[in-house]
Amino acid sequence: MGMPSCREVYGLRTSGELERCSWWLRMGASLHMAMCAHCRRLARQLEAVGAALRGHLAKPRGDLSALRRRILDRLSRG
Amino acid sequence: MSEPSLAALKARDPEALAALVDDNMPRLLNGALGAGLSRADAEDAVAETFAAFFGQLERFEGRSSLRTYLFGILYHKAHHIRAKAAREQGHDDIEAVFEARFKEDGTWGRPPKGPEGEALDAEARRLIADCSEKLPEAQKSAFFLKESERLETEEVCNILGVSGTNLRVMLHRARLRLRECLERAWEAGS
Repeated sequence: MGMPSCREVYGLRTSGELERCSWWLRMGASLHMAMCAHCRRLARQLEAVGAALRGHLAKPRGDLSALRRRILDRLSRG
Repeated sequence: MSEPSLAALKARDPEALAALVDDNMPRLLNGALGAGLSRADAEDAVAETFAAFFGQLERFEGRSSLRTYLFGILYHKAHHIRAKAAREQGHDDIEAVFEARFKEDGTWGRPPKGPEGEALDAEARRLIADCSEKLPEAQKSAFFLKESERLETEEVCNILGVSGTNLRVMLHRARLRLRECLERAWEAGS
Protein backbone atom coordinates (compact mmCIF):
# COMPACT_ATOMS: atom_id res chain seq x y z
CA MET A 1 0.00 0.00 0.00
CA GLY A 2 1.38 3.46 -0.96
CA MET A 3 1.54 6.48 1.27
CA PRO A 4 -1.85 8.20 1.73
CA SER A 5 -2.35 11.48 -0.15
CA CYS A 6 -2.73 14.90 1.48
CA ARG A 7 -6.51 14.69 1.11
CA GLU A 8 -6.60 11.20 2.62
CA VAL A 9 -4.42 12.21 5.55
CA TYR A 10 -6.59 15.27 6.13
CA GLY A 11 -9.75 13.15 6.03
CA LEU A 12 -8.36 10.50 8.36
CA ARG A 13 -7.12 13.00 10.90
CA THR A 14 -10.21 15.19 10.98
CA SER A 15 -12.76 12.38 11.07
CA GLY A 16 -10.97 10.67 13.94
CA GLU A 17 -10.73 7.50 11.89
CA LEU A 18 -6.97 7.49 11.99
CA GLU A 19 -6.92 5.95 15.47
CA ARG A 20 -8.99 3.02 14.22
CA CYS A 21 -6.94 2.43 11.06
CA SER A 22 -4.44 -0.35 10.43
CA TRP A 23 -0.92 0.03 11.73
CA TRP A 24 0.32 0.41 8.14
CA LEU A 25 -2.03 3.24 7.36
CA ARG A 26 -1.17 5.04 10.60
CA MET A 27 2.55 4.67 9.78
CA GLY A 28 1.88 5.95 6.27
CA ALA A 29 0.03 8.97 7.64
CA SER A 30 2.81 9.72 10.15
CA LEU A 31 5.42 9.46 7.41
CA HIS A 32 3.34 11.73 5.21
CA MET A 33 3.10 14.32 7.99
CA ALA A 34 6.86 14.17 8.51
CA MET A 35 7.46 14.81 4.81
CA CYS A 36 4.69 17.27 3.90
CA ALA A 37 5.17 20.83 5.14
CA HIS A 38 1.68 21.86 3.97
CA CYS A 39 -0.09 19.16 5.97
CA ARG A 40 2.06 19.92 9.00
CA ARG A 41 1.24 23.59 8.71
CA LEU A 42 -2.49 22.88 8.51
CA ALA A 43 -2.40 20.59 11.56
CA ARG A 44 -0.50 23.18 13.62
CA GLN A 45 -2.74 26.02 12.50
CA LEU A 46 -5.89 24.10 13.41
CA GLU A 47 -4.42 23.37 16.82
CA ALA A 48 -3.39 27.00 17.39
CA VAL A 49 -6.76 28.31 16.22
CA GLY A 50 -8.50 25.89 18.60
CA ALA A 51 -6.38 27.05 21.52
CA ALA A 52 -7.10 30.71 20.75
CA LEU A 53 -10.85 30.09 20.44
CA ARG A 54 -10.88 28.11 23.70
CA GLY A 55 -9.33 31.08 25.48
CA HIS A 56 -11.61 33.61 23.80
CA LEU A 57 -14.84 31.79 24.66
CA ALA A 58 -13.80 31.34 28.30
CA LYS A 59 -12.93 35.03 28.81
CA PRO A 60 -14.96 36.84 31.49
CA ARG A 61 -17.56 39.16 29.96
CA GLY A 62 -17.76 42.51 31.70
CA ASP A 63 -19.12 43.40 35.10
CA LEU A 64 -21.21 40.61 36.58
CA SER A 65 -21.92 42.11 39.99
CA ALA A 66 -25.48 43.24 39.19
CA LEU A 67 -26.39 39.83 37.76
CA ARG A 68 -24.83 38.13 40.79
CA ARG A 69 -26.89 40.28 43.17
CA ARG A 70 -30.06 39.64 41.19
CA ILE A 71 -29.56 35.85 41.25
CA LEU A 72 -28.62 35.67 44.93
CA ASP A 73 -31.57 37.88 45.92
CA ARG A 74 -33.95 35.64 44.03
CA LEU A 75 -32.46 32.43 45.42
CA SER A 76 -32.39 33.60 49.01
CA ARG A 77 -36.07 34.58 48.80
CA GLY A 78 -36.81 30.93 47.98
CA MET B 1 -13.46 25.45 43.46
CA SER B 2 -15.18 22.47 45.11
CA GLU B 3 -18.93 22.14 44.70
CA PRO B 4 -21.07 23.19 47.68
CA SER B 5 -22.86 20.29 49.39
CA LEU B 6 -26.38 19.47 48.30
CA ALA B 7 -27.54 19.60 51.93
CA ALA B 8 -26.23 23.16 52.28
CA LEU B 9 -27.89 24.18 49.02
CA LYS B 10 -31.21 22.64 50.03
CA ALA B 11 -30.99 24.56 53.32
CA ARG B 12 -30.32 27.72 51.23
CA ASP B 13 -27.15 28.32 53.17
CA PRO B 14 -25.98 31.79 51.98
CA GLU B 15 -22.34 30.72 51.64
CA ALA B 16 -23.29 27.66 49.60
CA LEU B 17 -25.54 29.75 47.34
CA ALA B 18 -22.78 32.30 46.80
CA ALA B 19 -20.24 29.57 46.04
CA LEU B 20 -22.56 27.94 43.52
CA VAL B 21 -23.32 31.23 41.79
CA ASP B 22 -19.74 32.52 41.82
CA ASP B 23 -18.36 29.34 40.34
CA ASN B 24 -21.00 28.84 37.66
CA MET B 25 -22.54 32.18 36.73
CA PRO B 26 -19.63 33.42 34.52
CA ARG B 27 -19.44 30.05 32.74
CA LEU B 28 -23.18 29.94 32.14
CA LEU B 29 -23.18 33.51 30.86
CA ASN B 30 -20.41 32.68 28.38
CA GLY B 31 -22.37 29.61 27.32
CA ALA B 32 -25.54 31.64 26.80
CA LEU B 33 -23.71 34.32 24.83
CA GLY B 34 -22.02 31.61 22.77
CA ALA B 35 -25.45 30.18 22.01
CA GLY B 36 -26.30 33.44 20.28
CA LEU B 37 -28.38 35.15 22.96
CA SER B 38 -28.11 38.91 23.41
CA ARG B 39 -26.50 40.13 26.61
CA ALA B 40 -29.87 40.90 28.23
CA ASP B 41 -31.40 37.58 27.16
CA ALA B 42 -28.28 35.71 28.23
CA GLU B 43 -28.44 37.27 31.71
CA ASP B 44 -32.14 36.38 31.96
CA ALA B 45 -31.43 32.81 30.86
CA VAL B 46 -28.68 32.45 33.46
CA ALA B 47 -30.89 33.84 36.24
CA GLU B 48 -33.71 31.51 35.19
CA THR B 49 -31.31 28.58 35.07
CA PHE B 50 -30.42 29.03 38.74
CA ALA B 51 -34.08 29.50 39.67
CA ALA B 52 -35.03 26.35 37.74
CA PHE B 53 -32.20 24.43 39.36
CA PHE B 54 -33.53 25.26 42.82
CA GLY B 55 -37.01 24.28 41.67
CA GLN B 56 -35.63 20.85 40.74
CA LEU B 57 -33.17 20.49 43.58
CA GLU B 58 -35.18 17.83 45.43
CA ARG B 59 -35.02 15.66 42.31
CA PHE B 60 -31.30 16.24 41.65
CA GLU B 61 -29.51 13.02 42.52
CA GLY B 62 -25.96 14.11 41.83
CA ARG B 63 -25.43 11.69 38.95
CA SER B 64 -23.87 14.51 36.95
CA SER B 65 -21.85 17.38 38.35
CA LEU B 66 -23.73 20.53 39.32
CA ARG B 67 -22.02 22.33 36.45
CA THR B 68 -23.15 19.81 33.85
CA TYR B 69 -26.66 19.83 35.29
CA LEU B 70 -26.79 23.64 35.14
CA PHE B 71 -25.58 23.66 31.54
CA GLY B 72 -28.27 21.09 30.74
CA ILE B 73 -30.94 23.45 32.09
CA LEU B 74 -29.44 26.46 30.30
CA TYR B 75 -29.29 24.77 26.90
CA HIS B 76 -32.76 23.35 27.43
CA LYS B 77 -33.89 26.95 27.80
CA ALA B 78 -31.86 27.99 24.78
CA HIS B 79 -33.59 25.15 22.93
CA HIS B 80 -33.05 26.72 19.54
CA ILE B 81 -29.43 25.67 19.86
CA ARG B 82 -30.34 21.98 20.01
CA ALA B 83 -32.43 22.38 16.87
CA LYS B 84 -29.51 24.10 15.18
CA ALA B 85 -27.12 21.39 16.32
CA ALA B 86 -29.43 18.81 14.76
CA ARG B 87 -29.54 20.76 11.48
CA GLU B 88 -25.81 21.41 11.38
CA GLN B 89 -24.97 17.73 11.43
CA GLY B 90 -25.51 17.59 7.70
CA HIS B 91 -23.62 19.32 4.96
CA ASP B 92 -21.54 22.38 5.79
CA ASP B 93 -20.18 24.72 3.10
CA ILE B 94 -16.87 24.97 4.87
CA GLU B 95 -16.14 21.33 4.00
CA ALA B 96 -16.70 22.04 0.30
CA VAL B 97 -14.60 25.19 0.48
CA PHE B 98 -11.78 23.20 1.97
CA GLU B 99 -12.22 20.20 -0.32
CA ALA B 100 -11.71 22.53 -3.30
CA ARG B 101 -8.14 23.11 -2.14
CA PHE B 102 -7.12 19.62 -3.22
CA LYS B 103 -6.25 18.54 -6.74
CA GLU B 104 -7.78 15.45 -8.27
CA ASP B 105 -4.80 13.29 -7.29
CA GLY B 106 -5.31 14.26 -3.61
CA THR B 107 -2.32 16.62 -3.36
CA TRP B 108 -2.67 20.28 -2.44
CA GLY B 109 -3.82 22.56 -5.24
CA ARG B 110 -4.05 25.55 -2.92
CA PRO B 111 -2.02 24.69 0.17
CA PRO B 112 -2.70 26.35 3.51
CA LYS B 113 -0.98 29.72 3.90
CA GLY B 114 0.07 31.73 6.90
CA PRO B 115 2.36 31.06 9.81
CA GLU B 116 2.68 27.61 11.33
CA GLY B 117 1.24 29.22 14.41
CA GLU B 118 2.31 27.33 17.51
CA ALA B 119 1.53 30.60 19.26
CA LEU B 120 -0.67 33.05 17.42
CA ASP B 121 0.21 36.70 17.90
CA ALA B 122 -2.10 39.27 19.47
CA GLU B 123 -3.42 40.40 16.08
CA ALA B 124 -4.31 36.84 15.08
CA ARG B 125 -6.06 36.27 18.40
CA ARG B 126 -8.06 39.47 17.85
CA LEU B 127 -9.01 38.24 14.38
CA ILE B 128 -10.11 34.92 15.85
CA ALA B 129 -12.32 36.77 18.34
CA ASP B 130 -13.90 38.62 15.37
CA CYS B 131 -14.18 35.52 13.20
CA SER B 132 -15.73 33.53 16.06
CA GLU B 133 -18.74 35.87 15.91
CA LYS B 134 -19.51 34.38 12.50
CA LEU B 135 -19.35 30.76 13.67
CA PRO B 136 -22.63 28.87 13.60
CA GLU B 137 -24.02 28.99 17.14
CA ALA B 138 -24.24 25.24 17.59
CA GLN B 139 -20.59 24.83 16.57
CA LYS B 140 -19.61 27.56 18.99
CA SER B 141 -21.65 25.97 21.78
CA ALA B 142 -20.12 22.55 21.09
CA PHE B 143 -16.65 24.06 21.15
CA PHE B 144 -17.34 26.02 24.32
CA LEU B 145 -18.71 23.04 26.26
CA LYS B 146 -16.09 20.53 25.11
CA GLU B 147 -12.95 22.65 24.81
CA SER B 148 -13.41 25.64 27.12
CA GLU B 149 -15.49 23.96 29.85
CA ARG B 150 -13.88 20.58 29.22
CA LEU B 151 -17.07 18.64 29.84
CA GLU B 152 -16.98 14.95 28.94
CA THR B 153 -17.95 14.06 25.38
CA GLU B 154 -21.00 12.15 26.62
CA GLU B 155 -22.15 15.13 28.68
CA VAL B 156 -21.83 17.53 25.75
CA CYS B 157 -23.66 15.09 23.48
CA ASN B 158 -26.52 14.85 26.00
CA ILE B 159 -26.73 18.61 26.40
CA LEU B 160 -26.73 19.34 22.66
CA GLY B 161 -28.55 16.20 21.55
CA VAL B 162 -25.87 15.05 19.08
CA SER B 163 -23.83 11.86 18.67
CA GLY B 164 -20.14 11.61 19.51
CA THR B 165 -19.24 11.47 15.82
CA ASN B 166 -21.29 14.55 15.07
CA LEU B 167 -19.73 16.40 17.98
CA ARG B 168 -16.28 15.65 16.57
CA VAL B 169 -17.36 16.94 13.17
CA MET B 170 -18.78 20.13 14.70
CA LEU B 171 -15.56 20.81 16.61
CA HIS B 172 -13.51 20.23 13.49
CA ARG B 173 -15.71 22.49 11.37
CA ALA B 174 -15.40 25.28 13.94
CA ARG B 175 -11.60 25.12 13.75
CA LEU B 176 -11.63 24.85 9.98
CA ARG B 177 -13.96 27.81 9.58
CA LEU B 178 -11.84 30.00 11.86
CA ARG B 179 -8.68 29.00 10.06
CA GLU B 180 -10.20 29.95 6.70
CA CYS B 181 -11.33 33.28 8.14
CA LEU B 182 -7.85 33.90 9.49
CA GLU B 183 -6.22 32.98 6.20
CA ARG B 184 -8.35 35.49 4.33
CA ALA B 185 -7.11 38.15 6.75
CA TRP B 186 -3.51 37.01 6.30
CA GLU B 187 -3.89 37.13 2.53
CA ALA B 188 -5.47 40.56 2.65
CA GLY B 189 -2.65 41.84 4.84
CA SER B 190 0.21 40.35 2.82
